[in-house]
Amino acid sequence: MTVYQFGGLVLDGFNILVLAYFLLLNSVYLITSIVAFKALRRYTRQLKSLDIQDLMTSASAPPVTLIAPAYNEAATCVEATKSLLLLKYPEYEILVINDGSSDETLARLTEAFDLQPAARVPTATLATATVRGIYHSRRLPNLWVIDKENGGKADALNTGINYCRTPLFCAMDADSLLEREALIRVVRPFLEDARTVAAGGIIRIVNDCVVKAGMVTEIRMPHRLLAKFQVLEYLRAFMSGRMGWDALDLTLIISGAFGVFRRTTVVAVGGYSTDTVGEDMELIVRLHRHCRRLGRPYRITYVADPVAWTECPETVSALGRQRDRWQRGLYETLMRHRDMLLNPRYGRIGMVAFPYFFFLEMLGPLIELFGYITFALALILGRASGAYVVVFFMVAFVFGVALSIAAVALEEISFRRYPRFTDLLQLFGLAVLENFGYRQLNSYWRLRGFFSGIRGVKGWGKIERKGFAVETGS
Amino acid sequence: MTSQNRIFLFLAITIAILFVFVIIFAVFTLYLRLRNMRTAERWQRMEAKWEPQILDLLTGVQSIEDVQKRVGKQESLYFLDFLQRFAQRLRGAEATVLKQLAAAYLPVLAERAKDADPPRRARAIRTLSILGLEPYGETVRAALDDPSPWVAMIAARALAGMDHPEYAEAILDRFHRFEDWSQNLLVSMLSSMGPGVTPALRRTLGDRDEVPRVRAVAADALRDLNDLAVGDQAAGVLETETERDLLAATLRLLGVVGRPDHLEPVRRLCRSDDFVVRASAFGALGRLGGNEDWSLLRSGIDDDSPWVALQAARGLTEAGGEEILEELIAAGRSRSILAREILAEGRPV
Repeated sequence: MTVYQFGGLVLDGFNILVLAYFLLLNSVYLITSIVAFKALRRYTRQLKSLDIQDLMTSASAPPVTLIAPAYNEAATCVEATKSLLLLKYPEYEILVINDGSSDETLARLTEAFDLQPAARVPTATLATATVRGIYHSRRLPNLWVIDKENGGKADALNTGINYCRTPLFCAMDADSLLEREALIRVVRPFLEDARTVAAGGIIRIVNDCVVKAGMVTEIRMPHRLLAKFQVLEYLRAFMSGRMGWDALDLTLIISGAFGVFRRTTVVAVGGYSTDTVGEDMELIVRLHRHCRRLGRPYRITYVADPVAWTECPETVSALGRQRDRWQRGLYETLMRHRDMLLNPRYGRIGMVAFPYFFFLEMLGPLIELFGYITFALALILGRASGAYVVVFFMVAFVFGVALSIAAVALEEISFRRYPRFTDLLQLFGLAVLENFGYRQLNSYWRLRGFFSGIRGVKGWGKIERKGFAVETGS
Repeated sequence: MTSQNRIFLFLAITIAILFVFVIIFAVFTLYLRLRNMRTAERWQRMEAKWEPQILDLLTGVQSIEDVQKRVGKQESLYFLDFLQRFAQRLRGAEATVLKQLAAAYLPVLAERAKDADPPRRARAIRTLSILGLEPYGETVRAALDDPSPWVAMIAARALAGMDHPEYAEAILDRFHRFEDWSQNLLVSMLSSMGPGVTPALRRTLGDRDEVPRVRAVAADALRDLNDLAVGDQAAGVLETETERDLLAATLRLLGVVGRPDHLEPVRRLCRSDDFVVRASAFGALGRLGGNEDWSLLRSGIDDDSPWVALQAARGLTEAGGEEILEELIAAGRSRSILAREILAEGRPV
């Protein structure tokens, strides 16, 4: 056998592997989409018999502490905090953690909410950077600001947990805008099942929506193409992905932008890990590990209707950094807990969810990008049969388009948040368009993140915020 | 054709079929959007027609029969849904008028409460509980045994709001069905039944064969109901039981309904090995005790657990021992921040 022939066989073998990868990945998405369809239908119908107002006015809702870490969020922190103050929930406290911002974050908060130094004793002892001062609003008894030295988002969240006094806390980004009923909706699983230790809601893109007095008052599709693609991506990730995984009781991620946790359980596992950029996923994996090791019945769940609106990156470089960071976080989490991989001790989490994330999400970009290259190589060298070319196109693109369209349809049959008919048509169009450039770019960023993870790169990189398109409310 | 190509062809055809299905799904979605838009417009029209009628009815300008004439035969379920939302904003005589208006349409809903579909049953039970709980109480009560726990909980919450002790008994008899629900929710449901339920709750609290979690729920509900007669029994529970949640709930109960002669077991539990029990005991001690308990409460402030320290410091202020907290601040001791915080709690922000 010549080197050329051997190389050809390797190429053929890799092409089959790539095909199998796309097929497996998209089949998993298809399964979660089908499961999500059933679960969403059941859930939305159940919602009709639920009286949110009743839950809000009854004494049954447990008190919650909202922990909002802020690092150089001067542009958005006041608006975002106002939105938290408008939440409909019987009893809640807000802890804004100023994580050593070098901009005007603390000054803006002090001025907007009339803060004064106050005493408050921590109730847990998670290790964090030094707290420099604690401030309490003179006007709003449930608003506190904790000023600390910079330690990163996880460190800021741990600081908040240390000062949390309620059975539940809500971890979020300082620039996230929660809908008014988001908190009571996300707390529902804790009411319905006392074993619940964590619940997350859906994240939606706020870019170019109208924000009035801290609330999204008009939902619009973003103007920029890059942001539009992310709207579709988020729909796919939450409506098909997380909903489906949750229905299978396999939730392994709760977004750091919006999640509610049982404080005692999080303190018991040592809080957020400060040496990873994927602290949100890492915590969920650790909660699974902790509860399963103790043999304790527990539930970690996703709820489809509580919404946190967040600003997405609009430039290629910012989006690239974000995806690099996400992939790095995934790598760090999965490698740290790699003993859970295919480990029956961790039940379906170890046997299904973990392998999916490990082989398809973590290693996926590597296979996908090399797959595009070897596919092109096989075409050039004339080693790809017509049938292979057709099937590669079908599996890699057409299947993907079908799944994206299905995600948009799931949104439409459930919550229908994009009001214009043209929005719906745009989303269908984006499902096709994203396959030509955007998806490959995304795979490149994720591959970069994967290698950053291997190299042990640390830090969050620069995050740009442009602030919300605010209209002054009365 | 090679076997590999046959597999490829099979895959391509499968995905093409799938794609066609998704396209059909997408077209169906677009159709749904158009249909939903039309339905929303129809809703708006109907509500715009009914709202002034209802306002006229409530102000006595129109009679129930006048309004009913404006509701088409096909519109009755929509009308009930509209009435249900309207009724939630009303109380007293106005709510009664709406219930009288709704009565003619409720038999359809009572039938729906037996539907095979759980969400439909749940919705029917909820609407009945708002618009016709008195005449359809038995239908709602039957739903306590519904195979769906969600439907059963909706029925339980509806019945709990009624002042009927027999429904309270029915709920308590089936309490095991709701054990997975949060303690807060169960306590709130039980206490919403009113004082009529206290004998049953006392029995549950005293029943040593009952699981501790259920007894703890009963204790918390009795506390919410301010049941002064349960004090001796609660003190007895503190003497005999060891389970953490039950002891903590009973201490919370005693903190509200107890008397100074119940203090002994409370003082003893201030030295419990379990910090949850200690914290609850200090909370109760602050409410029941006097200046003879200041030194015990002061010792709690130095407890290793911040929760115990917080409760002890709050207890001191309730027992009139603020001066001890002032001394702590003046001495700049390790717990002076706690003292400052607790004293600030009592002042207006």
